[in-house]
Amino acid sequence: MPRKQRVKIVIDTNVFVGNFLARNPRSANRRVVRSWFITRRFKLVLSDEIETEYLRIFREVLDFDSASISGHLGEIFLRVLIGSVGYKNLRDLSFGPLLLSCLSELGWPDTVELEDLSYGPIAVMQNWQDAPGRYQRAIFLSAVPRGRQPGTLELYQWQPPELTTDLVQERINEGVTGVISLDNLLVICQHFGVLPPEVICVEVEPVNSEFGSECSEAIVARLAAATDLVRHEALSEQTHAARGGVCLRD
Amino acid sequence: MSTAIEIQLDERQQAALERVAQQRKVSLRRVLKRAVDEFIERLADEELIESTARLAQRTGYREEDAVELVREWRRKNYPEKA
Repeated sequence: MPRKQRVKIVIDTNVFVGNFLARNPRSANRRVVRSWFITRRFKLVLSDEIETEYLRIFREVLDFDSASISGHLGEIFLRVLIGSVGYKNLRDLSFGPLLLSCLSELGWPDTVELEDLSYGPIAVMQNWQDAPGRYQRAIFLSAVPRGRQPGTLELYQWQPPELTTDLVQERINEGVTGVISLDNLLVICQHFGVLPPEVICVEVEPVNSEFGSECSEAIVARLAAATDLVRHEALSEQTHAARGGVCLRD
Repeated sequence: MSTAIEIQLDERQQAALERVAQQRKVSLRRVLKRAVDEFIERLADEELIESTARLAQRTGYREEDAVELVREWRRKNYPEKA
């Protein structure tokens, strides 16, 4: 059965303001905002222009200070990207898109977007240049050979390395020639300053990287755990660092 | 650390859970854990909205003021659109 599509709505700023000021639990403004934020009956359409107006009015009219804006409203409007990077039909190297496909079966709030980013790091970087600050958190899903025990599932917060011109040039060269690699995407986006403030990587160490449509058993066995990890990271109201910055390796 | 809690589900609840588990091809236990997680998330979301409302209500404005407050702000900041 096809997934039921939620109605897309734009909520005028005065509805949000009215919702926050309402003391009557049956207020229409409260019911609209709760239908979006709590029961998720609507999908909120939120452009940068609308979001800017929301935040400015909350600050300038309702006297929210910066801490309240980032602490309360930052969580309400926190936008998270879950992005996969990987080849098609290259067994375990297809882990990222496969995990993304499992995640897309779950229900997600409007503030979480899922996208396969395997179409090339330069194009991804240019898209993000067009929408600066769109995401506060990105969670990348990929299979990356890093010399770990094959089949290892790892989650960690990405720490931007010191970049050299040679390294950036090398990554761009690979990117434009069609190499699909999470590291290329990270380095290129870091160099151009378009990465979200919080970047989390969920990776597996591939067992089998030959041509073929199915991942190896060890990797398939990681899908359920990886799904839970990603969901937890995506929906967490606190940053990964604020939760202790725990790196998981299993 | 995990805790085992025993609860009795009625037939309707059990049938609904089993249907979801079959559709998602996951165990009943997993569906239950996810349901608990989603319930806890929902409570946290409600508290977040309530605490934000308490902040807004310190201004002394009332809900009926909302339309005029926003209209006035737009007049000041985007006079060409007002």
